[in-house]
Amino acid sequence: MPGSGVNMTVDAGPVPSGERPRAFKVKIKHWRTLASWSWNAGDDVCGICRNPFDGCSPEAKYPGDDSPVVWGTCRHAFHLQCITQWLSSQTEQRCPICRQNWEFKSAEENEE
Amino acid sequence: MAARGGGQVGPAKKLKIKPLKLKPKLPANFVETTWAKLQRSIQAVFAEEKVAYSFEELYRAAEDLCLHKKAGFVYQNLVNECEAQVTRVLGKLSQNQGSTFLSELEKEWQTHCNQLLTIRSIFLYLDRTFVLQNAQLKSIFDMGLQLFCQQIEKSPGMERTLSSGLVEMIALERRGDQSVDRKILKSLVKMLLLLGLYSKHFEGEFLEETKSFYAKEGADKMRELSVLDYLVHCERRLEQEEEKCKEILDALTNSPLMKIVEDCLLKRHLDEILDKGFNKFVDQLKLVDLRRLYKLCFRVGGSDLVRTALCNYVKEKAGEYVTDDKNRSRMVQNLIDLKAAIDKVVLECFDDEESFHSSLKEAFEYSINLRQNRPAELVAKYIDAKLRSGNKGGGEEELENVLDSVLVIFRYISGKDVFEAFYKKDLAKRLLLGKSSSIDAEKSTIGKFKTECGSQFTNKLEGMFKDVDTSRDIMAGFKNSASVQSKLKHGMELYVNVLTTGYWPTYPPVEANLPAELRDYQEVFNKYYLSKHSGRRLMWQNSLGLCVVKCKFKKATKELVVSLFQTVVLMLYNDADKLTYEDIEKATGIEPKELKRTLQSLSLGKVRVLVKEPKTKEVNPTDTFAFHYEFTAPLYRLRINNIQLKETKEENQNTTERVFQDRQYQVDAAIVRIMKSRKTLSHTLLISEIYSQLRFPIKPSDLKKRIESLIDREYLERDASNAQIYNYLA
Repeated sequence: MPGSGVNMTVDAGPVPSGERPRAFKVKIKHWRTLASWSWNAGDDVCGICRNPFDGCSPEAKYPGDDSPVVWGTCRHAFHLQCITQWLSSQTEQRCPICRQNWEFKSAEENEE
Repeated sequence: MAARGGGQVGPAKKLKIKPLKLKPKLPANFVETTWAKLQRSIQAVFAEEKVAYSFEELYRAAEDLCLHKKAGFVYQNLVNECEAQVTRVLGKLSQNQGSTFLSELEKEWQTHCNQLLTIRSIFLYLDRTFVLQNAQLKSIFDMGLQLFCQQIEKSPGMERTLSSGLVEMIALERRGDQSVDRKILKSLVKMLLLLGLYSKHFEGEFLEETKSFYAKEGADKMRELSVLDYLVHCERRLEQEEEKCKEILDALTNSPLMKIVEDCLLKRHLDEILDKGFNKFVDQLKLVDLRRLYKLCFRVGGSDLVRTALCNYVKEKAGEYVTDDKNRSRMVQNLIDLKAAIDKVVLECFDDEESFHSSLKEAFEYSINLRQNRPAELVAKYIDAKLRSGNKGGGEEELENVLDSVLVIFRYISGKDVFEAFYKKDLAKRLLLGKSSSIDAEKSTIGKFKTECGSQFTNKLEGMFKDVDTSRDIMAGFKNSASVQSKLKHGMELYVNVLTTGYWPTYPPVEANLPAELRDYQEVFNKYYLSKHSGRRLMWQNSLGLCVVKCKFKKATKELVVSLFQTVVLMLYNDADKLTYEDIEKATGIEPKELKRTLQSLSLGKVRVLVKEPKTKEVNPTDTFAFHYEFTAPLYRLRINNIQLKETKEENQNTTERVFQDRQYQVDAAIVRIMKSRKTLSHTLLISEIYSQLRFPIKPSDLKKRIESLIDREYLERDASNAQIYNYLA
């Protein structure tokens, strides 16, 4: 609107300027918010079940805590249920993707 | 009789009975005189005069004659006497077949019967011996009746006069003539029955008359009376005829009679009755009349028609509610009310017929699914409104009832996934913004869905509750962690709901430049959370963030409950008094649409903490916003975050679109699943398999598109020899 800029200066209205202190007018007391978590495994799918990591492994009913994702020392990630099943069906404990020896990566190692 | 004789003592004398020396003889004219005596008496009885002899004497006389083998003679003479009497009496009557004919005949008949009884008493011995032993002879009473009957048949025109007279009487009575003497009617009909003349002329003529009477009455009354009154009339008529039949007529006449009455009054007019009356009755919940209507229709086998009418009513009404966009907010309540009313009608008026229930289910399903998504969405919204805090009206029990009744409507919805999507979105808002009236009620609602649709349906919804509970634990740990608390310096409290991706509706990320304190807290929480849960990452969702903000105004300090975006905007005023729209946009980094909404809520809502210039009703990029120092309000704590609860058009669209996208995936998945197990399948078989697996409605043409798409993506191929057959490509 072309006239609005002019109006603003003419009719300052209920905003008396100058006299009030410059201290905080607005202070946040409480913040209630949300954050959604997902597995830190990229937007990829599990190499075994081809379901997204954020989805369900075929064995699990629910995504999230019920379908945990684990990493091997080779840095490949799978649903826990998927890799467990894979390993138990194999004689040699190897990563199904890179064929290296499979070892679960510990939580500490995972922190980067 | 020889007894003890001479009395001399001697050898034992034998007692001997000697025959009479002389055979006893009857007086010479024994038969003649005795009969004459009897005859005189019979005639006296017939003439209603005093009988000169005692009945004892007469009985003996009759007995004597019989004993002397004169029974045949007596019987024949008796017949002659009776015949003479009947001829005399009826002969007289046949001369006069005028208005008094029936009553006179009735009188004669009664007299005749009484006289016959007397005569039979006199000749009881004859009746019990001679007559019984001769099968071809009729008992005295029956003989008397037969003579009466024969005489009636012999008299010219008498029979006709009799039956048409009776029919006439009945017709008069039907027209409401009070003077009709039921006694005469009753006794004459009984006479016809006794004489075996009932079915010969009377019954047919009577039924004929009935038919023409009621045919006319049905047509007339249908024209004159309202349907309501007409039905009352019919009911009364049927009762009258039933009662009449019981009282006067032969029981065998009942079924043809009632059939005629039902036919003429009801069956012929059934369509018209239902057409004119039914909807009005249901509209006005005229239970008594509906009950009557049903009972009457049921009598003539028209309950199917009633059912159809009811279903049409439901289809029409429910269809109206569903397609009426103007009164969208009333739709669910209207449907619930309609369903309750119809249930009541079926229970109280239609004998709670099972077939009614199943047809009604179809009718409701049909009309509710006239619109694909609206009803599902509105049902979800309806429940949302009930479960939101601040919903007035009733306690837990009331809420339960409401939920149960809305669940009935829910059952009819074919696109349950649409419902789920909207329900989930609303539930998320209730949980995350602390707007749920009671977690118990929430859980009990979920429980109801679970029993209704199975756990698959509610898995994610339950997951949401789980997340809320887990978050509470996480936050408790966060608050109690000394190392964490030492890092938090702003004296602000943080509460984070940590959501599992997948359970919750997806919120489009809305970026905003958060104030430094919020960023600090975020950072601390992030570290804390990831230290507890490795292998995860956190995505902050701003759109449902909520803050309590202390605002110092000139007169007082207020606490405002605001959305995160509102907070971000308000925080800017710590360093300024007045900002242009552009300033705000630049500083907050909130996208225009969201920003406009936010500014609108702060400057144009009920609680105006910003003053907009110019004072138009829309937010424009050229506006300026000043902090409202003069702001006053009676309350200390003010809520201005309602915009978060409100659903925007985009949100609504997004939800719907997501459902449709989801459906595509589900269809694709179903097709692949089926083809993977079958390898080769014809088009028709595939389609029917798909339909049996899907839980939402979809058009066959859409299915075809999905199949095409899967062929393009090389999941399937058309068989080289037959285009109607698909092969699965591994």
